[in-house]
Amino acid sequence: MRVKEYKDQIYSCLRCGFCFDHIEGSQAKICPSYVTYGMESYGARGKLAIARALVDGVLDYDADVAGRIFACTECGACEEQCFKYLPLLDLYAAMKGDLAERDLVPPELEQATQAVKAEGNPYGKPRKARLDWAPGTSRVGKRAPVLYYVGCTPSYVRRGIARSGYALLEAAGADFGLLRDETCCGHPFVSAGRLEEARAAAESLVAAVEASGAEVVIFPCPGCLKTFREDYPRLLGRPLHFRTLHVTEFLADRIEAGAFRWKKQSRIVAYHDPCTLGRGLGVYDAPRRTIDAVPGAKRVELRRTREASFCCGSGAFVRLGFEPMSIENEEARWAEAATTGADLVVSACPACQIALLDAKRRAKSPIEVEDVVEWLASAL
Amino acid sequence: MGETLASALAAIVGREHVSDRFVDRLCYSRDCGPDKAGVPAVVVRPASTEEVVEVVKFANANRHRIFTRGRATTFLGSGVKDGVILLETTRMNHVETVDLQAGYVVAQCGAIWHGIDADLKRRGYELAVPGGGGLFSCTIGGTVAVNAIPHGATEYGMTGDHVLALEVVLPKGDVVRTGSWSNPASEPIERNANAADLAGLFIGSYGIFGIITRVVYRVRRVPEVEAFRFYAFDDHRDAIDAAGGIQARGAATFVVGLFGGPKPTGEEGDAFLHVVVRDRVSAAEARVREAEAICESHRGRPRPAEGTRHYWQDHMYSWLRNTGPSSYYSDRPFFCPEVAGFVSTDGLKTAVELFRTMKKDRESDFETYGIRVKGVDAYFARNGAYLWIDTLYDERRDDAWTYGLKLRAEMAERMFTEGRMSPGGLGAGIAPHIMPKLGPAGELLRSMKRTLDPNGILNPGLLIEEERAR
Repeated sequence: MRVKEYKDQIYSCLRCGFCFDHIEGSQAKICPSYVTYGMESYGARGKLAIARALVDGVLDYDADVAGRIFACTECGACEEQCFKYLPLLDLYAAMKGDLAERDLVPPELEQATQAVKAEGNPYGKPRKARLDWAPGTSRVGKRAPVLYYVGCTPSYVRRGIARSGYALLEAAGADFGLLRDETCCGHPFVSAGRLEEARAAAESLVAAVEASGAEVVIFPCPGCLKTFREDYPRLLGRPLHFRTLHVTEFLADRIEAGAFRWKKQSRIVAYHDPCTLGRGLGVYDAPRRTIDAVPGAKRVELRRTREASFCCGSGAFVRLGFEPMSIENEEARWAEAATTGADLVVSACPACQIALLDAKRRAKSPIEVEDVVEWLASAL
Repeated sequence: MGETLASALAAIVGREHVSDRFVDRLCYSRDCGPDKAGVPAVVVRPASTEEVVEVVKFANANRHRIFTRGRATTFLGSGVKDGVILLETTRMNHVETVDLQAGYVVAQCGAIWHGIDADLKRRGYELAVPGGGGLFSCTIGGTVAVNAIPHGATEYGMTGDHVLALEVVLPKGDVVRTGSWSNPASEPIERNANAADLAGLFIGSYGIFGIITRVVYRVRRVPEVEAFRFYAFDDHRDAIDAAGGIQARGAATFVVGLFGGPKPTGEEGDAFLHVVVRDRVSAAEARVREAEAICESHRGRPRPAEGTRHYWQDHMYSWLRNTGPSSYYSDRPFFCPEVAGFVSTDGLKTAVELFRTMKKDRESDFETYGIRVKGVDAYFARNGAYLWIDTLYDERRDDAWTYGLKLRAEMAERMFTEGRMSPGGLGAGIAPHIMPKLGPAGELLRSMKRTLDPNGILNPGLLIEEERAR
């Protein structure tokens, strides 16, 4: 069992409970699945207790364990607050790997991985329609120093993000191309614990990127970025020979170099930190710098922000198997955003945007929701 | 039994708040301490006093034992036994009243201490003792139930000192309110109203007499300034005398002494004092000068106090030894069979020396079992000191674990007798060694337990031997 490799860390859990409650008070909880299901087994301390029971041989993997581990949004809030600095997300990944070996992946998530295998995206949309969002074919397959890796959700579901990122890169004067045969990065495989399939995706895509001649790969999706930046080197056992950047990291630098002229926007903009981009990859400032660059825009913060941000409820594809949990948490996050006085809520992650839009619809709120690149593109 | 029991409890609190799945139950066994514990038969999470009452009545009628739990952050052993009902309180987390004029908050028992405090801080106030002892993730009900030893004890006193009133569900299901709150027409502004101090019965009782469901707790304005000093001493007796001088003059809000374990990084000496002063600007300056003079008159050497400030403001014990939060226990699987208790300030010298002797006598055992000493530290209270002796054992080694518990038992008994130390918290790990020594006081506690809980259903065996209570 992979989980046994973490025995020292598992035994190190102090059971202090710092992984439950929000440091900023108001009795808020930090873990989306614990918020919804309430039993400790859904929180980090409980998952460590489960891991210890597995290591000690008093518990076997079963559907109950799978239900707790796969309900995790991988938001990293528990790891952020861990008193013992334990690598909790790595531990959960090991447990997911063990569960996958025992065919205990939730069927909805498994269906998504099958769709990736069949069509190269978790939605099961036609492979040939992947580039339908693109404004032309001139950049498809183009050798260039910059590669725009769009990802599945922007390619099929939130095409405004794909187009806006493209427009912003053009406006920045970037010499960039698109992969002719872009496919899923393998994030669903990682989330499902299907590491062999993830490794295959990594090998294929890294070869494609290297063949493209790109020195930098730009991502609008933090999930894809994290998969490339953190998972691929581990899966492949070697570093990548190209840089990876979130689109806001790229844009923030170009903005400061004077590459853009923005139209004035009189908006109050609340920025929701995506967990994967923020806690996961440490990118907090770049999206804010891009928002602050637009004249007339006033940025406001949610109560729980930056390292202490609260998950939208949709990380790690949990929406597929745990939709009520996603809804409860996206509504909580929306309620927080709605009290900021903002007339626009932006995020920098397609999954977060979908969640926030869903919550907005339920709340019948007039506050708008966009991805940060959509809003920036509208200010060009 | 499981299904019947779970169904009955689900009828009270709702299906989603009850579980008899093993994967859930195993998470409600042990706390932060070293004691192994049982696995409950069922976990139930009530949301209100009324639901607690119904659970207790059901348990009493059917002779089911109940163990109560907030965040389970005690190091002293909450003593959960196999097959019991585990009643967990964290759904009861509403802060119902914040009355800054009258100076109190009313909170349900499962409200997180730090969460209440963080909200008060935004308004320039704080709970009347900073940090409910132990860990900041504790619940207010649990903290009061164990009377956790707080930070700031030198000036502010103990956690229980600031309880104004309690609401408690008794083992038979009756609900009592204490102090002025026992008058339905009154407000919970005074603990010492309406005859005997009933709140005192439940503070520190570990829930054996009743389940605290609401706490009324005093708040105070956040002081204008905080000042920090740190002193090194070449003889621990000088450090203790200096702390005693500070106590006598009321010169500091908080004094923490270090008398064993690793020395603070970069420091030399036999003992060390961290001094925290919180007050109005003008008063703080005078108190700091006084504390400095007292320490220096006892041959204390002033040292940089950045660690003191970090310790106080960042709530991390590791800063007591000038090391960052990541080095507290580090990521090692070490656990702490803590022995702790109150001694007179002067008596602290004897207790510290007793521990040093015990450690010296056990050098080869410590070597064999890899036992470390994390700290021999004292929170100076108003008129004494709360000494805690933290040894660490490696939890991966069964022999070290067994030795750690044996060491705790020996230390608890010798500290109680030769060290003249009286434990504060008496959890399941320490109680068996101390309760038999309490004489008539212990017998009175047993008698009260039998009266209030004749069926012995509530936290049985946690403080008082189960056989005698039933």
